[in-house]
Amino acid sequence: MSDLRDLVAAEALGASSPEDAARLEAELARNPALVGDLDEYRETVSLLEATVSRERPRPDLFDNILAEIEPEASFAVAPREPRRTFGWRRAMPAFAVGAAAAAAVFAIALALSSDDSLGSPDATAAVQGTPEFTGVHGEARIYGSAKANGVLKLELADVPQPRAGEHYEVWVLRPSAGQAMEAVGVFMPTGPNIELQLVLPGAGDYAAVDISVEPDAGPPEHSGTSLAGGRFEAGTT
Amino acid sequence: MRSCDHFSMPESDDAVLVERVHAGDAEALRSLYERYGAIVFGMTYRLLGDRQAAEECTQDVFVSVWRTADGYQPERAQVSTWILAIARNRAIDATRRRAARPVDPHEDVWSTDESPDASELVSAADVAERVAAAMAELPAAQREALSLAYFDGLSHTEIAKRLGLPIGTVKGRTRLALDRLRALAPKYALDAEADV
Repeated sequence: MSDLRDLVAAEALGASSPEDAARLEAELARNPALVGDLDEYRETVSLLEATVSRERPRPDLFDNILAEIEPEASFAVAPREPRRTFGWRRAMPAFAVGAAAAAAVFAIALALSSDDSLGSPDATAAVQGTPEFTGVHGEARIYGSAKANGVLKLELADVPQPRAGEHYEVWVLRPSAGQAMEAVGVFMPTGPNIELQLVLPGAGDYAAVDISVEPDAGPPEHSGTSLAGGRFEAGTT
Repeated sequence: MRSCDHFSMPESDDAVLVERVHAGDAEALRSLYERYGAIVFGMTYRLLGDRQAAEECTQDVFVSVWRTADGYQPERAQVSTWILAIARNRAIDATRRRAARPVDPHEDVWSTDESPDASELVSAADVAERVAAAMAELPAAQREALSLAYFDGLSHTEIAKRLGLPIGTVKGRTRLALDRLRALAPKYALDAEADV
């Protein structure tokens, strides 16, 4: 019966294929109760049509919105078309880069708060390269993690250039949010020393930071290959 | 090389997106636009009756979301409800502004003939806002399927191809979306509007 109701709903919505429409017509002749169902669905669709136009806005309307807010944005966003080559982490928080940072960041970043304005870190992690990248080292600091929009400040040294078709991504582990690490930003270094400032995904205690090596056109999940990482300890090291 | 066991990136919920918008994250605004832009435009287009005016209004709505995100109070309303309330007010304002434009730029007179009846305008905007809010409240998968059928005029077969889903799944989702809209009718006081 749900199959027939699917056909009825599709017909009311105008989404039937010719085959389904023909099948429904035959069913309606045999089953008058379906006519009542069709009327009810049509009423719903009619109310939608009376109040919400079926048309979409022009495709570039959001570009106009961006142009209007861009001067106010802490950072801009990558253009939608062509699609970002490394996929689309649409929920990816933005990030900010230090003025002295030798990093090119995909989401163009501008705002940088000094350590003074950030206050004292809630937690600090010594970041060490994985066995394949032993030279990489640095420090990660968490600020304002008790509430939304806390900041992760990441400083790395001796970062190698990723291979062609790859970039780096920063992840954090927040046990209160589950066992999955959360992505907080991607970057492509233009030099060995990196300084990034990223918005954390939410309030909570952070246990670890990880920098992964990601293929440009890869899926949104962690690649399983890490450049470096570290565990947070409360306060400063 | 180190492997990580549990990595995933769930879709951010609306309230988190608003937090990020407040922090200056334009990508989060894009996500909200992708979720609700079509509904906002559809609602304002129906109220204003003019594509360009509806697009300007939709732009105003999302710029307003950007600038007033700090004022959003999650305990008072869902994000979709908040956005659609902004859309309602912007559409009413736009209609009134248009009605107040000079008929002939060479004459310093103001049109009164086409001024909309204020109560009718507000009433229409209220109904549109409630219908749009019900639409926005659909589960994401149902809203996506319904949007592709409703706004893009795609058949089930085309939607199934677009989303890479079995056609039976698409049929089920669109039907469930309409069922859900009917079920939401009392909540949004839509029963009397068209016996939904």
